[in-house]
Amino acid sequence: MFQIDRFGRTPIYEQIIDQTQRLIASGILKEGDQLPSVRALSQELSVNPNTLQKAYSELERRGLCVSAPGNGRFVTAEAFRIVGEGTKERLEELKKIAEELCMAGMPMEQVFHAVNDAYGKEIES
Amino acid sequence: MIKARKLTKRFGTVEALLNLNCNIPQGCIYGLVGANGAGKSTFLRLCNGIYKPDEGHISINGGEVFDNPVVKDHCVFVPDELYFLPQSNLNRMALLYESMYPRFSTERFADLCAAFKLDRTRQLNTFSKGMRRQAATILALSAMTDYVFFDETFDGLDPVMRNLVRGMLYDDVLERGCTAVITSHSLRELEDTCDQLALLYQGGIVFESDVQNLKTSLFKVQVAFAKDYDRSQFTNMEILSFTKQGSVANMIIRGDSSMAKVVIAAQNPLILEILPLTLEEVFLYEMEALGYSFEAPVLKGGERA
Amino acid sequence: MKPYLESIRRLSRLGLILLALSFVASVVVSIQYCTALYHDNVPSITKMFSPLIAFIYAGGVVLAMDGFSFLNKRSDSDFYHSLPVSRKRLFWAITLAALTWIAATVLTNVLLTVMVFTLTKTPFVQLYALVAVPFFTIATMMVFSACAIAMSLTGTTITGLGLTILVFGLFRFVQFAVARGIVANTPIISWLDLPWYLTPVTNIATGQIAQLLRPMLRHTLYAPINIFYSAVITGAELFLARVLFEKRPSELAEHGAKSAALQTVFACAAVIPVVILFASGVMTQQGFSIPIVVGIAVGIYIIYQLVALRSAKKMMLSLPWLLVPLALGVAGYFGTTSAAKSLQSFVPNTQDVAYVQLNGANRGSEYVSYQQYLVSKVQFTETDVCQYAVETLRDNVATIRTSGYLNYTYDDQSSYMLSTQPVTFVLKDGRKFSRVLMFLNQNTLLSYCQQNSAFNEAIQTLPPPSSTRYLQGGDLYDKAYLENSAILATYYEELPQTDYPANDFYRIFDPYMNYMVDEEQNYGNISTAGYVGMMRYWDSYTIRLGMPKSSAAWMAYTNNHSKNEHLDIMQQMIRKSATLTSDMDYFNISMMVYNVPMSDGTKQTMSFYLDRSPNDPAAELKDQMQPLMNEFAEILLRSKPTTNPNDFCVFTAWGGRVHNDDGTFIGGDIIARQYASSGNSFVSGGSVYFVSNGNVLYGGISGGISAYNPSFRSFTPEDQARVIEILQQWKSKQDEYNFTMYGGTPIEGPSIGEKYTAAPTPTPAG
Repeated sequence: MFQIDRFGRTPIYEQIIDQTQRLIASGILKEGDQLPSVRALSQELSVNPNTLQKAYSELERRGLCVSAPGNGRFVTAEAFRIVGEGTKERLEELKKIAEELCMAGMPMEQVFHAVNDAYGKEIES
Repeated sequence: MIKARKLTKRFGTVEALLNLNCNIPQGCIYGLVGANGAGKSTFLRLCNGIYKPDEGHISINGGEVFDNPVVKDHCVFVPDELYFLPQSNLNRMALLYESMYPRFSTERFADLCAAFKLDRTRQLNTFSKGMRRQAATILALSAMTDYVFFDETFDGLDPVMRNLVRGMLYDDVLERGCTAVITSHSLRELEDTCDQLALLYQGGIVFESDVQNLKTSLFKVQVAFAKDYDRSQFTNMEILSFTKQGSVANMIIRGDSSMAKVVIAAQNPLILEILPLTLEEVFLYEMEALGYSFEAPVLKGGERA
Repeated sequence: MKPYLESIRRLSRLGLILLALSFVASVVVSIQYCTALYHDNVPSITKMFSPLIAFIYAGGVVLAMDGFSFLNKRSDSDFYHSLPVSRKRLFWAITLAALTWIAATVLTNVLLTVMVFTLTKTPFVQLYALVAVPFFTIATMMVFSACAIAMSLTGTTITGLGLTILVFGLFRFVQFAVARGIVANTPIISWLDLPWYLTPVTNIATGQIAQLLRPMLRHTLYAPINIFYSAVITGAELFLARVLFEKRPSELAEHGAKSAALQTVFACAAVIPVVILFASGVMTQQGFSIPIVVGIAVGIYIIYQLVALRSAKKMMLSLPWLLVPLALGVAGYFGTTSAAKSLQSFVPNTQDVAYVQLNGANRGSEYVSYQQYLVSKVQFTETDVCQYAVETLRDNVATIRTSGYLNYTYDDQSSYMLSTQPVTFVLKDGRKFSRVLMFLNQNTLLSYCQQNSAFNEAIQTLPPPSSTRYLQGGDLYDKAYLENSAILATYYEELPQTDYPANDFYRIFDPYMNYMVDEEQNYGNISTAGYVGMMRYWDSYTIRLGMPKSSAAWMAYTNNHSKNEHLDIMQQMIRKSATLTSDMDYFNISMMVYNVPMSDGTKQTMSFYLDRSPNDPAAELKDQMQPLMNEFAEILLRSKPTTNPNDFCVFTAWGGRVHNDDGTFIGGDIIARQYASSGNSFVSGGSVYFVSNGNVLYGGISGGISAYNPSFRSFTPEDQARVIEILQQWKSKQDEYNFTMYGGTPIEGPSIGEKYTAAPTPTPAG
């Protein structure tokens, strides 16, 4: 489920959190879906379980998941909305950036190009 | 919990450890890094009751370690220079471990040997160095102790083996709340495995932190402004390092990166990039901040602005 | 328990090798001993278990060094110290595991040796096996504990071995050297007379080494009290080793010692043996040897410190400490000589003496008689004895003071009466000391001793018949044993009826007396060896006319074993010996004649001898004796064997190599007929002669016939009278020959005299 780049500069813990949020945002992880156990993930990714534990705790703190002792971790109902809120903020940021670019005199096609590229890359991967 | 208070150990006139303090909580995988001769092995040996402290205390689960089998029952040590009984094989060594460690598990031992594909009847002195390391690790982990100490065990293991051993360790940490202390020369080796890291320098721990915090608490900012500017523009942030070439400045900042981004963005820079640091870079900058400079080959205290 | 089992496993490699080696050694050594052709004595513990003596040192050191080998390497030492076992428990696990291997090895070897002896039916003292097991086990543990102490104090194999030797032996070495100095400086104190604090044998492990240098110590070494004392010392050493082991820092591995100070102590200790050797007088204590000793001491010290401290400067700084052992050497020298003198000069007053004991002149040898053993237990409270002993001590001390040694004049008669005897004085206040005294007159001493009834009983006490294992050098399975035991039984029955002590040593000896007269005439002697409890004895009983039944039994035995005397051959050879042609030819004859009647009315034993050879300078004299010989031979042919000790009888031995004029060898046909079938062989009962395929061959230059197993022969009254006459003439010719050849003069005394008829033959005991 997760792809970890351990040679990059982003901490693993952040990568887990980011990827979980993206999976929720894209709808791949839905309400009630079970997240993999720390144990399985630790073995699969060869990552320190404490690190994973920390990442999961942070996800819980953000309200994206909830743990039922003995049963596992599950995506919450509000997860999509919370992530979406974050996503909405990002859209606002994009708007602002577009404004800046416009003021700087960048043609609109170039901006569209950039957006296309990003979406294309995502569609491809 | 492993607790060291003012731990001091001398060999003749050489002070290997001086007033060392640290707490290693249970369930943590603690990495100890330092140059050769910094005192890592000495510290591990003190934790295992091999050496007696000259001053200070080293206790595990509340009990002093030295010559205390009640405490040592819970500890097992994989040293840098491995020891095996002369002309012995894994089976013979398992007998030795079994006679000494009350909770030694022969089933786990068998499973691990099978998993690593090691021949239990073959003489250990015919094994390669890497295989011997694996053997020693298997024996140690089969002892089912609460505390495991690895002295440079991972250094020199190939990545596949490293993963395998790491997997075994993670299992123990998860299943039994095992605590591991690992030493190494290299941060790279420890970065993946540990969740706590400490730097041992000249007999004391000079820097200790959660690994993830380390990677997130320090970051590099690259900025450029149209108008002239200097460091004083960013007084509200903790800047460890500031270098400027032309109109581009590189800053090392401790704090929250997103907050910092917002604050700097508010000043309308031409260029603003937040870059994470490698762990080594983190350590270097932290050490400089503490006053140590790492100019090869000799480590000495330095002065920084 | 588990660490103990693990230690047994760990030591098993070397433990098994040692076990196997000692096993093989024991088998080989004991089989070699048991199948040896001739034994006349029951073996001592040292002889029986000699491989175990080597094991004491090999096993102790090897097992300790292997068991504690991890202390000498960093990685090993760290590993063991990281294990969750307390140091105390680890130490005892190793020690008890070693003890297990040692005890198993000792037990196996003892059992094996006993088995070999039993299967080969070789006599041995059973109780020795019982003593040997604790003895060798504890001795080996002593070496082990010294090594354990050493291993805990240092971190390398070399220093470990060196320190082992120091811990194990330094103290005892000094003690031995001092003891030796005292023994060397005092003629009246020997190794068995030292006070308990100087006795080398209380430490059985070092005592074993001392015994190799001074074999007389062997007899006290195996005493249970020494074993017990050594066990206590070993326990204390092990306790010390354990404490040192607990305190030992793991980082000591691969270093010589914890600190420079300790190294200096070891260096001084290493020097001490050299100076003590000098102080005790092993090296000559003269002017030129002092600089040599100092030089060697300084050399050892410097070399040790250079190796240990690895710095010339540090070595120089530590040099002043060298003065300590050198000072000890000086103190030792003066101490030893003055101690010796004061020890020696102690002479109590007679009234302070409670009793004395006579320990026996050959107490240090393997051949101690049963009587001597019993006498050594007697406590002589009689004033005469005590006073004589005290006076002798005083006199000896005074003589040593003036002459430096026991300088007593030796003239012919008094030298016989001098007697060196070890004496133990027990004073009324409980103090005890021993000296080796030279008594001026053994007879005086004996006569005083005879006031003591226990003594009188002791000297006539024979060992229990069932305890005998060897008789006349043959064991129970020897075919002569049965016959000899008949003689012995007669002796046992007859002795109490006489006044004789069983051992001639306890007889009052008259230097003027001729001991070949009347009842004193002796026919032979019988030796026995055996053991009672842990005490091995070796007795030798003289068979004399005073015990006629035993003598008769002896004669009967001798005659039974004397067949084919070939007196006819003897006669031929005698006749031809007058005209010997070949240079290698010779003939000799010697006779013991018993009960020769003398002019003073006594009967005496006399010996006669004649030899003939070509180119004899005394040929003319011998030619005059020739007719006597010829006639004697003729009469002898008519004589008959007798078993009456009171008879006038002759015991004749002869031999020679004589050829007829035609070149044939006299006696050759008999020899060839009798013995040719045996090829090259020695045959007893009349001949020593090599025969091969019926041809006469000589073995060596003296190859010839010798008849050395004759019988006792007596004569008819007429022949007897004639023989006496012949002997009278023979004697005067013999005296003439002695005078001419050697200038010897005959001993004064009665001459060969009247005709004599024997009393009837007494019946030997059944």
